[in-house]
This record gives sequence, structure tokens and C-alpha cells, in this order.
Amino acid sequence: MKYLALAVRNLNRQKKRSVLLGGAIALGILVITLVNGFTAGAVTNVKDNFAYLLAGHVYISEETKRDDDTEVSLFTHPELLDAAIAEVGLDPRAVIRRSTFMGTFLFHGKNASQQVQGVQWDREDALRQRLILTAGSVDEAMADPRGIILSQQAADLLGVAIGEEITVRLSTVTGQQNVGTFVVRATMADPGILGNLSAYAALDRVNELVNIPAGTYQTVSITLDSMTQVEPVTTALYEALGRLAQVKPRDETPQGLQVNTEMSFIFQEEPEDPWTGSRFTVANINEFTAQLESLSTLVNSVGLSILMVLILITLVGVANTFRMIMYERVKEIGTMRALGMQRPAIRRIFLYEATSLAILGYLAGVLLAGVVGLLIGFFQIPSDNAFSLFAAAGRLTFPYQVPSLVGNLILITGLTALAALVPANKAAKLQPADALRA
Amino acid sequence: MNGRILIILGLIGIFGALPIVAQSSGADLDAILASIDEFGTFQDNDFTADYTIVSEKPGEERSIFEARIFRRDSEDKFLLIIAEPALRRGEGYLQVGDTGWSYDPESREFAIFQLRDTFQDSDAQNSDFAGTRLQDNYAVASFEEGRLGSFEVYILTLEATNDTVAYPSTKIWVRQDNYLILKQEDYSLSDRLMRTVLIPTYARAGAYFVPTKTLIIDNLNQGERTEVTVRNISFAAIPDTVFNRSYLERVNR
Repeated sequence: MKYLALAVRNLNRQKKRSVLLGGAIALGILVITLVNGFTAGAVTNVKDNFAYLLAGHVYISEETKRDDDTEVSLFTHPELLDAAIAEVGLDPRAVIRRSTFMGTFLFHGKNASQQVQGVQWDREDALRQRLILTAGSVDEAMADPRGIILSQQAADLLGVAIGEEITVRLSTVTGQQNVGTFVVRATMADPGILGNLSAYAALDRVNELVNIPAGTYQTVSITLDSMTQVEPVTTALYEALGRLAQVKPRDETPQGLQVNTEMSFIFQEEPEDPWTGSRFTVANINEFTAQLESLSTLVNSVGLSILMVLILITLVGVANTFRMIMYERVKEIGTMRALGMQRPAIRRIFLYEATSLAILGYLAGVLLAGVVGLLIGFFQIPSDNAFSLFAAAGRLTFPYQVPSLVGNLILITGLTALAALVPANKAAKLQPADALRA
Repeated sequence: MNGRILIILGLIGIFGALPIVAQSSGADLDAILASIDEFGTFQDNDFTADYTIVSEKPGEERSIFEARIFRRDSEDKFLLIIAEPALRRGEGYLQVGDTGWSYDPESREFAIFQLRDTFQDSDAQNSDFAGTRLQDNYAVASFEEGRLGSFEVYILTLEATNDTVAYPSTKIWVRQDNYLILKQEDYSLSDRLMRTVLIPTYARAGAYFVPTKTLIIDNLNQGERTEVTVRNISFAAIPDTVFNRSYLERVNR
């Protein structure tokens, strides 16, 4: 303990030098902590944004191949899915049934593309609670079979007000052109770039427009309490459905940012085994964001490389500084040795000094990263900006990553101690008489 | 009891069909549809032409696309390659039978493509550039004679016989003397008029007629229209290698 006190006192003796060295370490830690925090926050936020758009974490659809080879996305055997859901033991309230279409809204010469989600209003408590309305009310939308809730941005783009009728152009499930009308009953605050694309209307109205029977639906989404349940629940559902019906092999599900069978951002066409009849597809949020996880790992690796370069530069400085410190303190070392201090104790003082410097620099870096992250988080990203996909409610988040924090602490402390080891050994090997003569 | 029902049904069928039979006196409806398909589908020759697609939307700049189209209708093959604007150069659409791919030279990726999709956010559909298949997809629901400008025309209302064609019903104005379509109105499933197509000029090449100028008016969005002009028409043989995904990749290098 006394050696540690001596080391801290030594750091305090040369404040400017200690601040400069510690500052360099803090800068490296600041960068890597921010990078780690950004990637972790971005992955979580993208998943949340997708979960919001797709109304859950696990998605099931049923496609039927007709005699003319056309594939139609519609639940024709909902009882099989209900049985599978019951077998897995999922809460029926977590199961959301919807139909969707991508349409172009037209109003007085202006147009806006939107994905219209047909929802069962009475069963979508979570959606009703999450919607932040800027005008109108969900009750009005629920009461009107042709009612629709538009994002404020889409409403502004169209120049439409509450109570006005808008026309929508869309394709039916078999690809026929259709035209319908909605009445704007509410507008919602922009919930990010994905939310901006969405509008909400009654399920039966959407079914009518896409030309499928009333009471049916195209997609089933299941909301889970935590992301750790995603894979086990997906696998359990896949297996349960597989015992009851034909299910698309999970490795056939195309990778990439694909929203659903209706709306695909990027789709690399893959050969598929021929199939007939009806089959279910089970997918989950991780499949949509798999590429993002890889990107996150890549960004973290780049961040770590930057940290290594910064650390190497800093370590050269640490090694040189401690060599200087040794020469400055030759007489002091000689005195301590003459008074009976052993060689390992001298080495320990040097190493404690270096590790104390690293830990203080590390703590300052982590603290600064928190402050910088908080400041960046104050900036609101416009919801029509693609970058808002990585944000939560338009703000970037930088959650601390404990494993990375621990790893970085071990790395920076170990390397700084290593850089100080040579001067520490040299100091320990000094003969008391020679040191006192110097 | 059953016999009486059959007689009633028979009478309903006869009287129901009477108007069309009566109105179509002197005009063979099947022959009209067959002729339209024959003119618009090049069964004996390959077809190549340059298309200019000019699209106008209110409050937006005019968009101009130059594209080259290759067709081998006898084998249901279709290829469209964009030449202009420079930013979109090399994008292509290939249809072989029922399978279609679009190609993006930027990402070098293929995506699913369907003829019934809209061409580049214009009022034209990809199928407007392919062969005509009215007989396969539509049946005549009503018929009348009329006049369009200085031409005597048959006005046919067609109802789709399957639910995979883009427009569930369509109305065509066909010249009585040569069965060329002069005007077409396309209706949605909800029976709203979606677009009007006007074809003022055709080029004759042997037994074929190719519309050289087509005007497509969007009836839902006032002021939105697309004009398609066709030049450099050729019926020379096209190498087999053209109707291939690798050609789309190669042509951009």
C-alpha cells in the first residue's frame, strides 16, 4: 500500500507531465468507448425500429402456390399456426395479425408512398399506446372503417388535414392494380425513418383493397419480452409448425435488410427448391439485421485498431517518460536503496506509477465518453434522414458495453505497465553507491 | 323441377348474350383480339428498338429515359437496357418465360422483376414494352361501334380472365379498317379509371405494326403523363446470348 502511495505522490509531483500522458490514454479510451457504444446502440436501435415497423420480433407468413404458379401471401390455414403458438406456450396477447400493402397516396396533385398496415385496433394495445398523435385520435380512426393514421411528415407532404379524403393506388395480392380511398382521422409524430413509411388503417379495409377475404390476414408478428428469447422461440415455432404443415427451410430465408415478402430493400436472388401447395415461413428480427451485426463487428474492429495505434504512440511516450523519470530520480533511488529498500520494491513503485497513470487516464476517458455521448445524444436527427434508422426516437444512444470496458481496462493497464517495465528494471538494478554519486 | 330450372337458365343465357351478339353483328370479336395480338406480338422475328420515355409530374422535373429493347416473342424473351440518364446507365430488365430479373450495375445484384410493375416510376408499365396478349388474358364484356376523331372504331370493354394481369378491366378503341388500337382506358379492381393510353402513330414493318408514339395519361394524378417514342426499329435476328443474365452483367463493362 505504501508503494502505491509513493507512486501516486510521484505522479502528483509532475502534474503537467502526468496530465499529458494520462490525457493521451484518455483520448484513446474516449474513442474506443464511443465507437463501442455507438455500434451497440445502433444495433439495438435498428432492431427496435424494425420491431416497431414489423410489430414484433418473430414473423410468420403463409404462402400458397396456385396452379398458375403465382404465390399469394395469405393465411389459409390459421388454425395450424394457432395450434403451434399454443404448443410453444406463447401469450396470445403478444400475437399481432396484420395485412399490409405498399401504396401511393394521392391528394391534389401531390403524392407520397407509404406502407399501410392493416391492424386489428382492438387487439393492438401496444401500438395504440406507442403512437404519439399530433392531431385527431385513435378512437376516430377506429370508429371509421375507412379511417387512417398518417405520419405527420406524410400528411405535410400531401398537404392533407384531418377529415379529408385521400386516394391510394396499390397492387392486390395477385398484382392487380387497385384504387381506394381513406379518410385521415389522425396524424402521428414521426417515429423515425421506418415509422415514417407506415400508416395504420383497419385490417378489413386493407384486406378489401388487397383483395383478400375479410377476417383474414397476411402476417403474424410475435412480440417477446427480451431479445434472448428470439432464437429459442423462432426455433420452437419452426419445429411445431413443421410437425403440422409444410414450412420453408430456415436457411432458405434470404439474408439482408428485407422487410417482408412485399417490400424488399435488397434481395439477392437465390435458387429455391420447387414446392407446391401452401407453406409457412418463420423468420425473426435477427435475420433482418444479420448484416448489421457484421457491420457492427467490423466498426468495432476498426475502432480497436485506432485504439491500438493511439496506445502504441502513447506507449512510446510512456517508455521515454519513465526512462527520463529514472534519470531524474537516480539520487532518490540511491537514497531509498541505501536506506534498505529492495530492488523489487523500486520496480514496484515504477510499475504502480505507470498502472495508476493508465487507470486514471482510463477513468477520465470513460467519463469523457459518457459526457460526449450524452452531448451527441442531444442532437435530434430528422426522421426523414436515413441515419435516424440508427437512432432511438431521433437520438443516437451510446450505451456502455461492460465486456468492452473491462477488456479495454486490462489492455491499457497491461500495455502501459509493459512500457514502463524496462525503465523500472533499470531503476531497480541501480547500485546505491553509483546512484548516490550520480 | 330440375328441367324447369334448366329452361329458365337457358333463357337467361340466351337473352343475356343477345346484346353482345346483336351489337357485334359484322364484327368478329375474337378476330379483333387475335389481330391486335398478332400486330403487337412478333412471332416470326426478333425485335429491337430504341425507346424514349419522357415522364412529367406536377411540381417535378421531367424525367427522360432512353432504353434499348430486345424481344423474342416466340420464346417469351424480353430485355430492356437503360442507356440514359447516365446515372442509371446499364440497369436492365430481363424476362424469360415467367421469370424476370432486374439488374443494378452499381451493386451488381439481380432482383425480382415483373412485367406488370411500373417502369421507373412513370405511368408506363414494363408490360407496355412487351408483346400484346389480350386473347390470353381478357374476354370481351361489351361491344359498340363509335367514332374517334376521323376514324370509325369498335369500342370493346374487356374483363380480365385471370387475376394476375395489371388491370382487371380495360376499354379499347380499335380502328374498324385495320384493328389498330387508338385509345385504351385501364380500370382498377374498384373500377376507377387509372390511366388513358393514346396511340396516334404506328410504323408498319411487313405484317407488323409498331406504335411509334404513345401518350399515357394518369387519370388519378392530374397533370401526370408519360410519352413513349420508338425509333430505330429492327426485325433482324438477335444472338441467343443477349437474353441471358450474364449479358446484362457483361454489357456494362
